[in-house]
Amino acid sequence: MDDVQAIRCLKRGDIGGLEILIARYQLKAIRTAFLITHNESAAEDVAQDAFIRFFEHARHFDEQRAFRPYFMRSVVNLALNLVQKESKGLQFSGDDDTSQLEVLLARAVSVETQVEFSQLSHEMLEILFKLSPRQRAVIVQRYYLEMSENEMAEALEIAPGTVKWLLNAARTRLREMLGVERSAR
Amino acid sequence: MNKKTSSQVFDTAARNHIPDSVDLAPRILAHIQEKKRALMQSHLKIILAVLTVILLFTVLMIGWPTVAQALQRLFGYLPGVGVVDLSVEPRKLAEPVSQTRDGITLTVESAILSADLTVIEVKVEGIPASAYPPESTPIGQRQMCSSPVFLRLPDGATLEMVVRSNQALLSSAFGAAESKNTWTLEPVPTNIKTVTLVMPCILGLKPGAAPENWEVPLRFVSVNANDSAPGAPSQLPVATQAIPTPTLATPAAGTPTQVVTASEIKKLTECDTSCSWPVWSPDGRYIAYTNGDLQALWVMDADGSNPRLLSSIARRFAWSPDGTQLAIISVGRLFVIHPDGTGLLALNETASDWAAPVWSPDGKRIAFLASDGNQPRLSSIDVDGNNLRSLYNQPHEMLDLFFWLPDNRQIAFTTQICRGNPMKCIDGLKLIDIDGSGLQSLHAGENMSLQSLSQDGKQAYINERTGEDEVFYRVNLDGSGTAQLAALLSEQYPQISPDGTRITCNSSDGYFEIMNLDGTDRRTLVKQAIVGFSSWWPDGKRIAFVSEIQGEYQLYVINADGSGLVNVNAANHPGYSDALPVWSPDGLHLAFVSSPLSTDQDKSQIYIVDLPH
Repeated sequence: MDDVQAIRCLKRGDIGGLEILIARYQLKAIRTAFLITHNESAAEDVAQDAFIRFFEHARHFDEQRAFRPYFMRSVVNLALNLVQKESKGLQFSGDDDTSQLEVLLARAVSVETQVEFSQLSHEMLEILFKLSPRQRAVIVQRYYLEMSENEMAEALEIAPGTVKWLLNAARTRLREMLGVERSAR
Repeated sequence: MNKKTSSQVFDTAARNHIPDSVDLAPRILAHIQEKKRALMQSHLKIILAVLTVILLFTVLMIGWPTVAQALQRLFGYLPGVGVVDLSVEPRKLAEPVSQTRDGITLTVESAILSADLTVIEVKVEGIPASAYPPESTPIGQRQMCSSPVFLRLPDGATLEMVVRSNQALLSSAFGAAESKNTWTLEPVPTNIKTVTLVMPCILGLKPGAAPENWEVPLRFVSVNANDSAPGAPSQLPVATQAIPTPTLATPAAGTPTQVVTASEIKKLTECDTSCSWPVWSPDGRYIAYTNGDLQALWVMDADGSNPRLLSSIARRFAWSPDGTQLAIISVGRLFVIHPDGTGLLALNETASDWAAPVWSPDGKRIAFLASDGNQPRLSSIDVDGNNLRSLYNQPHEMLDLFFWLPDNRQIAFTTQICRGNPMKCIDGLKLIDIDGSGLQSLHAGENMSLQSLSQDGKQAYINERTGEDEVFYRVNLDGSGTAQLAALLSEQYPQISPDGTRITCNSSDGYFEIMNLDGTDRRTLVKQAIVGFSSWWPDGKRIAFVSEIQGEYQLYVINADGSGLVNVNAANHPGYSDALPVWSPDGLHLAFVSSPLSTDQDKSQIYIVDLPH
């Protein structure tokens, strides 16, 4: 059952549709929230809140929208709101320079040993949590959720008929086409 | 260690804090259960009771089989089951089966088995109220059974649950002594006639509060068999019409479908993992595409020769109007480069990859989103890196698509701002001069999407969704007005022809349709097309689209009048699907991506086929 079918179940009042979505996205959602909040318990609360909000408004969900980016954006926003509320007055590293993190990430992607990888990932999280919440959210969206054209690449690995993916790919394409067509004038 | 993606790196790092075993489902379901209980007011119960009596009366008057058959005729699916694959003869439970333990009776009332799923209805009676978690326990701390049931085959293999309609959890809010459950599980192989339903515990009850580890033997027979107990679910309604397999319409009766075979199709390249949608250079000489998880940007000649890596990470890119340069956004930097890899020039180091850069029509400036970690702002810069201008930035407002008007002096862009709880989002289409002055709001509304631009770039086509209705508008980008066009119902992915006269869309029943902009002269081109993959030929006379045939995507081309169907039987290799068609600027060639369906093999390929006028 793909996301569209699960959401349709949910719209019909079948709670099983929500369970499908929870099973499929909860880990990603909790880890996303954790990477932004730096708090395991808060991360679970954020993910739970996001699922419940979606459940309550599922009937209005536009099936033309891809669920995953929509939902993950909701998780990011909830996590961001929470951590910004709780971090009022706290200071973060001023310049929000993410280059060091990106260098570590580039190394971690191709590192050869588990030991080195563990060390790098530890350092990455340390640097990540020193960034402002908003910058954390940007990094998480870019490198963890890969929220851009990569949605298409990811979706190519799942079963056909996943209309959500198709719609998302189409939107990506629209963006590309607009860029190209406009630039062609 | 194997090479990881950036997402995997973060996932592994986060796993130390958030283990794989975390399960939010019980907490969330408990929360929903609590809310349901609060909502179930007495007057609602009365209304439900009245409706139930009316329904029962109707059924008694005209008989359940009549009602069921009427439903079948109406919907063509198995009532209570949904749309199923009836390519093999469906089966049913031979007879209801009950077990009673400690006063609790579990009855498997019915089952329907199709080629693609198994649906089982189970009633549980005699549940003591004390078996439910006490309501005084805070939500989230309630311990309750949520272990899924499964089917055990004679050889010990198991079939897992796919969907659980879990009224048991919800009925516990009312302390119900009886609950009904409908479970959808993986399909039972056709040669298996008996299985065992295994229920580790009764859903929604406190662990240990009721007998656990239920095992109920089930036997299945053909739905046409007449061997079930009288009055038992032998009368479970079964659709008599098979679900149609994907078939193409015959738009031009008597005209055979032309098939372009694999020998006429040329493979241009193979990606490490996934290829993105190929993007032709405006002069048709090159094709750009991204490859792999980090989206490395590659360019090759249009015949597939000379593939070269331009950037190891390129989230966004755009060809210059003359095709001699690409603007690329990579890790926060905007730069330009020639397609042969020379002439690299960094323009800006605060570029956001939320949106692709957009060249001005004269090729002298580039619009992009700039961000220093805060809200991205619409900006523009000369192609030599001079004259950076910040054009638009409003707190909490997301910028999405933007494009230059033909006079190079204005930029139109879409925005979205969300507020409130529950959140409400307003989309907008705005216009601004390139010096940042003269801001105009051209259109605003909920669920608005920019669909396309007119060929002269002076008008934008947008659609707005309200409930089930989807209305199209044409917006004059000089601010002189908006005209309403077709109003459709639940259509998906409309695409307007390049000449702005016709719309194609996928109807809710999967048909690929074409109509005038005002909704008149509506016709079905084909009966089965995959949403989102159609592509108009540059002159608006032909359309490429993707249809699903036996689980694989195949590429087709059809004339806008419904004639001349061509099956680009592209890859012609099992396990691959063809999608993402895009025409060359001269309309002579069609490039597309062929991708594997399984996760075992993940190398996409880009192909090209010549389709002369």
